[in-house]
Amino acid sequence: MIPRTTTVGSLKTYRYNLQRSAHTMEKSQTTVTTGRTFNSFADDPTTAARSFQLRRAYLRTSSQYDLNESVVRKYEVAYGAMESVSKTVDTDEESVGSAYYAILRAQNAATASGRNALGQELTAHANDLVQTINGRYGDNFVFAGADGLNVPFTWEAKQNPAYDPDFDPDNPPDPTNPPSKAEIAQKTSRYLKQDGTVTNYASEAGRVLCYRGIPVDTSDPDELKKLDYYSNSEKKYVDIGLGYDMNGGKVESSSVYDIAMQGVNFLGGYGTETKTTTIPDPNNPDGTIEVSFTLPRNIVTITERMGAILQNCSSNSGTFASDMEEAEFDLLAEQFEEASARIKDKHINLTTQAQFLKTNQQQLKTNADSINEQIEAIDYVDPAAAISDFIFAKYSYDTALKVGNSILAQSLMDYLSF
Amino acid sequence: MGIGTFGSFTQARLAIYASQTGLTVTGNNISNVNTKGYTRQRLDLRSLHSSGADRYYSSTDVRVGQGVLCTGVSQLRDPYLDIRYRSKMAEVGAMDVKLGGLEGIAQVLDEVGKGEIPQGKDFGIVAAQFEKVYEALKGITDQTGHSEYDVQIRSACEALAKQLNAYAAGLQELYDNTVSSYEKDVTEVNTILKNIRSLNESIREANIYGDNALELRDERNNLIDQLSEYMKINVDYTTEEIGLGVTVEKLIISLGNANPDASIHTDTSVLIDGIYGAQFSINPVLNPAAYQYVDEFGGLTNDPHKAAKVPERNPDSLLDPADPDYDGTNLWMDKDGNPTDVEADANLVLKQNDDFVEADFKDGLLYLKANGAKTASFDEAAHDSNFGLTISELRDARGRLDNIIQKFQEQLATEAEYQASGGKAVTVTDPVTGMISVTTFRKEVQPAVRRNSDWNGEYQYVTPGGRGTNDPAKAAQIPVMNPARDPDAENSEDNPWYMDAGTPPAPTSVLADAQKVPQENENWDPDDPNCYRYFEADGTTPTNDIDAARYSKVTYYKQLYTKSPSHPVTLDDNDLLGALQSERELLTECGEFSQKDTITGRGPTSDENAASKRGIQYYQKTLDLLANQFATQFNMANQGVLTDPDGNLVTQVWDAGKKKMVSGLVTIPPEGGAGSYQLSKKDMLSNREWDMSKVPAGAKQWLVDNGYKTDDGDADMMAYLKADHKLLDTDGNVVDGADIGEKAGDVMVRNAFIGGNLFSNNGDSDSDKDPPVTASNISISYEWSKGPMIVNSFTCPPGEFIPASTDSENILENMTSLFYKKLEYRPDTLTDGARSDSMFSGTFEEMWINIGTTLGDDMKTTTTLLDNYYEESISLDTSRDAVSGVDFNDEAMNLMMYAKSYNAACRLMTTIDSVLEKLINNTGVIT
Repeated sequence: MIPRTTTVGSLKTYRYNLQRSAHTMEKSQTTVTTGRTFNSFADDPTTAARSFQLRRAYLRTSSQYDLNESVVRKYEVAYGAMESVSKTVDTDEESVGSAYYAILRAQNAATASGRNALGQELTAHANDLVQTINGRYGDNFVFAGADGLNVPFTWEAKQNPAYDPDFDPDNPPDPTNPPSKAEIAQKTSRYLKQDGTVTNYASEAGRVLCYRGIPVDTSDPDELKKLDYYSNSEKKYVDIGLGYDMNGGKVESSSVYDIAMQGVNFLGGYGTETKTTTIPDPNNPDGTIEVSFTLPRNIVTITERMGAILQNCSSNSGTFASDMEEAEFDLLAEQFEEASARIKDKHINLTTQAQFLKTNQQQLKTNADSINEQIEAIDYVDPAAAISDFIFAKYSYDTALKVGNSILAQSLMDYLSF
Repeated sequence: MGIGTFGSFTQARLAIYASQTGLTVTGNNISNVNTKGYTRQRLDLRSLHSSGADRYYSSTDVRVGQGVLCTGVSQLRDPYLDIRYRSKMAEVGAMDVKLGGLEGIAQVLDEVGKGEIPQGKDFGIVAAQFEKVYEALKGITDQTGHSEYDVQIRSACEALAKQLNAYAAGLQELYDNTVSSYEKDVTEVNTILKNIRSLNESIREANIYGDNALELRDERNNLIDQLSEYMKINVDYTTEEIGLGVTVEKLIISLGNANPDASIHTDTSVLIDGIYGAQFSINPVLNPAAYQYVDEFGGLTNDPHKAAKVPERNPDSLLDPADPDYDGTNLWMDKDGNPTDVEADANLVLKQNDDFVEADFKDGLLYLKANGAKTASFDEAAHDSNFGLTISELRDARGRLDNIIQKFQEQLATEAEYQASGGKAVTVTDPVTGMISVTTFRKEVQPAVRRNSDWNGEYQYVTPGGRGTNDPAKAAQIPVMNPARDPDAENSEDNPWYMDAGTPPAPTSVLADAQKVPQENENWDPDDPNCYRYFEADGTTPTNDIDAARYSKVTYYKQLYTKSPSHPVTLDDNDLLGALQSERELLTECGEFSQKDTITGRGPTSDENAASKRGIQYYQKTLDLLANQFATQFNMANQGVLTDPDGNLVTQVWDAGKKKMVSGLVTIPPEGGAGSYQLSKKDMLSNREWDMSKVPAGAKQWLVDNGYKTDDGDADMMAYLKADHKLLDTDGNVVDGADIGEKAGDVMVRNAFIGGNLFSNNGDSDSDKDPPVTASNISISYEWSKGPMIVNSFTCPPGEFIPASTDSENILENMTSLFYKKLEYRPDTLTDGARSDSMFSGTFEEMWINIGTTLGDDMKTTTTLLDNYYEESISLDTSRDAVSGVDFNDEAMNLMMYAKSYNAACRLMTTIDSVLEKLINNTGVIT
């Protein structure tokens, strides 16, 4: 039996189909006008989630790119500073204007009358080195490790280790044995002058190079511990897209990048070394005597000390103030060469790091482009396909309208004639 | 009997009338082609034929019909299609409303294609804001210590908090609107039910007067179709006797058995019973003080029949096992009022509501308003949070209560029950429910014989034919022999062989005079019970007398009829399927946040599928959980104790020798002594947690005594470390700033704890508890709003008391990591009673995307189902129209048919007129 098709039924079915056709056309139209393959989570939940994941990856990569760029700039500033430092401490004999050139001249000059001037030049070099290494990138000191807000290297007044703030000359600890004037001066003076005498005036005091408040040529174990920490352990990691990961509550060091540049490492180091040499001694049968010197490792304090020795030379003859000072100068020259070598290593290392950062920068850009392409692929429609779909949907809709126009046109009613 | 001379005129007249009526019906069909719900009508015709035969009927005559009769107008409708259509419409209604609600949620939460469009991409709003926080954190890892970068993070976080606030407000607005819509739809359903009841009454009245009331039925069908969108229903058409053998149609609409739990029967509750109808109401919040009992589901009731029954406790026994005198004996009272150890023997009593206050009950203050005030008015009461529904009792338009009469299956009764009733009906009226129970009794008597199953087949007598019998009348009759005779001598008067029948018997030689007795079977032994075929009625005495073995088997029966006044029915959680239920589920269902009892328990709110049903509340709670997780994690990351690079606690204590503060050990109590405790790195679980199990009791007590305790009153080391410890000099005066170092005190400790909450539950406070942080209240803490407070690092260089100025260890390890870390989201974090295991594991952004994906999946499924259901409903509606709809071709045919028959009838009349003219006026006339 053929199902009965009625006028009312046909109208309802037509109305439903027309609605569907209009809906399909509207969807196609939205796709064409927005250019998106989906416009809500409900359209395609899985792809929408994937799309947001890709967008997150894109934003993260962009943010890592920006950070990497900032780090690259910082390294460029650091590299520039180290270029200047390297020139100053260059041990090439032909390097005119370098500190080493001045040292050689002081050592080998036929006439030594210029040693005072050379001493001043070395002192100036020491100052220059400190100024250079204290440079900033933006608001931060580049070579301050993780303490970028504070100037890393400072010249501090030389403290008098015998100073006792509680010492009262009028009430000595042992009244039966009153202190001498010299003892009183020692205990009541805060500073030491450059020549080792005491003073209470900071302006008269000698100067000590400090890194983040710690004298770089200290031999105090507590202070050395701090410098060891700064030099070897203190890190300032940033996430520049190396696969940030945590391990046991700590960030995995290989997944981040350490941007803490410790100035003390870039100026030859810190602490002291003891070296031994011989100096003339007429009292000994062989005419010499062995003497030891505690020598700084930091190139600034080396240079500073050498400058002081040269300035201590006779202004007339240029001879060293003593055999001890001459011997110390020679040993300091060796120290200078060794420190210079360490600085060159650091400079080369810095170059390598800067190169890595630039490569990483390129990689991040490539990654961002790749993610962008993926987003384009899953989020956005092929215009040709979208327009074709729309045209087809519109064709269907137009056809449906055409059908509607004639659906009620013909029935037996129209042929009745009485 | 033939038709009368003018009878043919009547025949033609009836034909004209039938054709004209047919045209009218056709016209009515054409007129109503666009009327919604109109069912096409058909004229019912019957041939008029006089039946019966008379005695003198001529066998040569013929019987001819006398025309056509219009017997009525009927509708062409298929009830089965109605059922299928309405069932489908319940599913369409359910999915339509659900999809509408989900679209409302999507308008708030779906960020696809939304947001700023940097670099040509729309990154969402909240999704992008999370990344902005991440980006700002990136900035501060590079530019640590500069307050403007802290401000950038704060701005990004503030925007995120505001956005979450806005989304929470959007969801709350949707929730409130859905509540209004739900109330409106309940009212709409009630209006439909009232209208159907009213139409039933009109149709019934029309039926009584013989009218089919077809148009009223169409109207009613429309209403039933509407009702079917709101809920799945069953529609039954029965008949109702109204007396004098007249029956009219009775419509019964009941709920459509939608509850998957077969043990629940409230899902078949009657909504319409003829002229009686029920109304829906949303359950109110009950005043716990106004109800005397507790039912088995923990609900409140004043109906003792619904109250749960519990074993009666012995008032003299100790009930608390924690009581030192508790011995666990005689905890219960038995039915005789004696104490007992056995709970199973205990007397059962109604479970009392501990909150019951008689005054509230007497004043009828049964409900609570939204503000918590008590009220006697149902209309003023706040809605129960479950938005459950109650179906009222069935009443007619004048408020009269419907009574439901039920006849139960007849059951066996005992003789005692029968005797107690005296064989008459027993009527009992329940004083609480008003139900009248009538029990009728009857007995059946059946004759029976008790046979001996061990009978050995031997009969007592022998018949003349030699067969066995127990009937002495059928036995062969033999004379009684004279015991004194001489058997060797001939029978004679002198030697009579027989005894006569006299009293006493006398010897006789005449055989005919001899007394005759039945001949006994020689094998039959009267003392052997197995020689008897039956037992007597007592069941034990053997007998061959069948009459003695006969007894009567009596069976008693009872038949229960109940007549119960219709009563309100509180619907179970899943009794409805349709738009109303979907709307309710949008309001109540919270998926993984459902109470454990709801999923596993029984009762009006139980639903084993609740964990997978997600309404507005699910998205509110998920958003709250995300906001809470975000705030909690960042708050935790931004506070802790300072440590040195080796992880030791960095505390500042006064070194009298060095005359300065140094990093040193802290002892609790500070003065030391027995039971004191020295704070140690090894007991630190993290910068924010202390292993209190390592702290001795004495130190714990000192902490508690000095106010360093948790909300539960336990010792709290972190509270001690967080406290603002003053530095005191030797005189007990507070020293600070420049004075430090100038004066030495005995106990000088500076706290090592730094940082604080970045987020709070209110912009004017720093607290993230009471109430907890949610999406609607998440704010930047008051302290953070005043200035930078992000802790860059908790690690101090050796010998230092503060971290290096641009050290960003904490930001990288504990804050940036939060954007990589898979965090566990547990429903019970903010919802007491919800499950405690993780519902999702992922980063903040993944959780956020998960909300969208869950919503999208739900919408997609619902859309697909709605499409299917709607298409099926359209198909079914078209099928209904195939039966009930008007078709122009059909009606055109009818027009032609009735027009032709009309013409033919007129022709018939003309013909008859013509022939009668001949007969009357021209017959016999000779011209």
